[in-house]
Amino acid sequence: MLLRAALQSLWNNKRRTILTMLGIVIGIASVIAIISIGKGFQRETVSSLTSSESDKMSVAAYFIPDNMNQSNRSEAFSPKNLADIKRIDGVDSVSTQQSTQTYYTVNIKVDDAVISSTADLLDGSEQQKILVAGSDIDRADNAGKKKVVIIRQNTAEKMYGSAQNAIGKGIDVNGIKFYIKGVVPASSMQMISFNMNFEKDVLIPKATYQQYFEKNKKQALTEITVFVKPNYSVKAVSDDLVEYLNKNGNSRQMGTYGVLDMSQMMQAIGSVINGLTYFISAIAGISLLIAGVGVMNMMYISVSERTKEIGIRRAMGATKGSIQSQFLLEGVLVTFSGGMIGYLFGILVASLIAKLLPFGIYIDIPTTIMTIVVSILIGVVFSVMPAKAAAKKDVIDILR
Amino acid sequence: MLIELQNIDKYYPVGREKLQVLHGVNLQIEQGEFVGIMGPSGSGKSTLVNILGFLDSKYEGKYLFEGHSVSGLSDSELSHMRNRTVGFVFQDFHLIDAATVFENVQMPLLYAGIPSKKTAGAVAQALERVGIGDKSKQRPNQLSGGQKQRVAIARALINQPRFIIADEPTGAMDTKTSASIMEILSDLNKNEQVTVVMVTHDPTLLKYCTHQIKVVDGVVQKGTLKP
Repeated sequence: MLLRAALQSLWNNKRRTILTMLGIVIGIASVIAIISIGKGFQRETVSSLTSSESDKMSVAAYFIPDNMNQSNRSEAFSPKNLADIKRIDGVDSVSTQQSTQTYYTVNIKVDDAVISSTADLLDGSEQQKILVAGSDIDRADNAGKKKVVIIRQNTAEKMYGSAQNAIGKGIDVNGIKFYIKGVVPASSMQMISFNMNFEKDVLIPKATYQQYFEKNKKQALTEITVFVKPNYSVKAVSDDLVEYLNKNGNSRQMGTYGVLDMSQMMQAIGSVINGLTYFISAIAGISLLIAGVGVMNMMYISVSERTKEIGIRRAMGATKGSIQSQFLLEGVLVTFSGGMIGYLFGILVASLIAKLLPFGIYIDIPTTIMTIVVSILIGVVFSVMPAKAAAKKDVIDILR
Repeated sequence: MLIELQNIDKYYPVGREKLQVLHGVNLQIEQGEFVGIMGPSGSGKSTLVNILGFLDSKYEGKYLFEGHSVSGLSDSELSHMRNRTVGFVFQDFHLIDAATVFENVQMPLLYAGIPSKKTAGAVAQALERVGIGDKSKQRPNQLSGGQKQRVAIARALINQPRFIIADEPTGAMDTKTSASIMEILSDLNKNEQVTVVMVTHDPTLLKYCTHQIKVVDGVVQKGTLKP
């Protein structure tokens, strides 16, 4: 009955009700949009930072040499070490996956200056390139590990006056004499390196590069990833791991071993993003406060406009309590329905924004519950005083 | 004895002074009476009916309703008393314009704690009783003055109260409409033994009454009228 009376009076003042609701809608919508985007961003960040075996907790163990120059000389993790680590209680598996190098650099000598240049490695099977002069690197060059190179037109002109003159001439690459087989225009470098987005300065046969520049360079294992079995404390396992490595590690005399607990890092990053999200939401929440004051204003107006109705109801037997509940319910109805509309609107806005972002939004149950609780709470807090004022009115004064 | 007032004094604060509106009122009203309260403006008629109708509880003296004192009852107890024992009919109707006729008449039942679903029959019956059974879906502002007052009477009757207080029920009506409203009240009084306490300015209405109360300067005198 109270509900019907409340709905009816809200309906009778549609415009005022809607305007008041709008404040709540905007407030809740902005909070929800921020939280859902923030949580989406947090999940995206955390999941992109965790490895592919995401359901397993992992610890990264690394080696820091005392002297940086020694880093390549020995292996920090010997095969024996790896086998031993696998036997540590709680260790599920050990990954020695190295990060693959995505670009290469070589030093070329132009006149007397040594220039560090990016290099693309070709095996002759690539698409034909547009050349200013000379010819392309072919399979034979790669198979024969020939010391040939394609350089940029501006480099060729600097060294030999023109692109034509440079063909067949020598160029110093990492201290080894290479022959210039072709010259590409400076501007077309973007096109030829279609598989890499940035421009390469020189092109060298892959096999040649491996033969001359990578021959003695054995990739040293400086970091391993240890996966922890479920139900084992990551902390305890990483403590065991550090203790073992600093006692038995292959390079223990030359430096120290340490661990990087990915899950802890994830938690830290996650909590920072979380904190940030809630901070921005709190600022957006101020608009909710203002909307609440709007509700209070509306309720006071409603009470004074409906003084006669209050008097009639009291004469018909309504107690102070039932008058108070009626107005309280009205206020809560406005904020609750405003909150629900705002919630949906916020999700809509967030998902529209998310279309422009590389990650999706995320709504969890606590956020939903929070929305409901907050919107009801605003209704109660800001309607209590007008409702009390309504109940306190003197019946005789009203009906006189 | 339905109503018994003993030495009721009523004061209104006027600035720092107290203005006495009722002077030691002693009054008895029996079940089934039709009491007309007459008196000039400002004599204390309205104050008297407010006390009788449990709207005003700030008075000195004793009010016995069916032998039980209602002086000193709490606000919510008085609210229940109003709901169960008295029906009001006001000069300017006091209907809720935003609600339909049905909802207006239904309201006292709801405050009595009766579920909305079970009220339809009683409401229809009450509207039929005052001759506006076809108006239940309309709103008060679509009705004429006489029809509005019929709604108010239906609302006053709906909880089967012990008595009805009518405060100048025909004050704003022409004689014809006035007569039809009075007929309804008189009929209720004669055929259903509903006690009616009516405030009026109009001496011609006394022909409907069984008793007359004269209020002059806060002093009350009750007399019997010829049937």
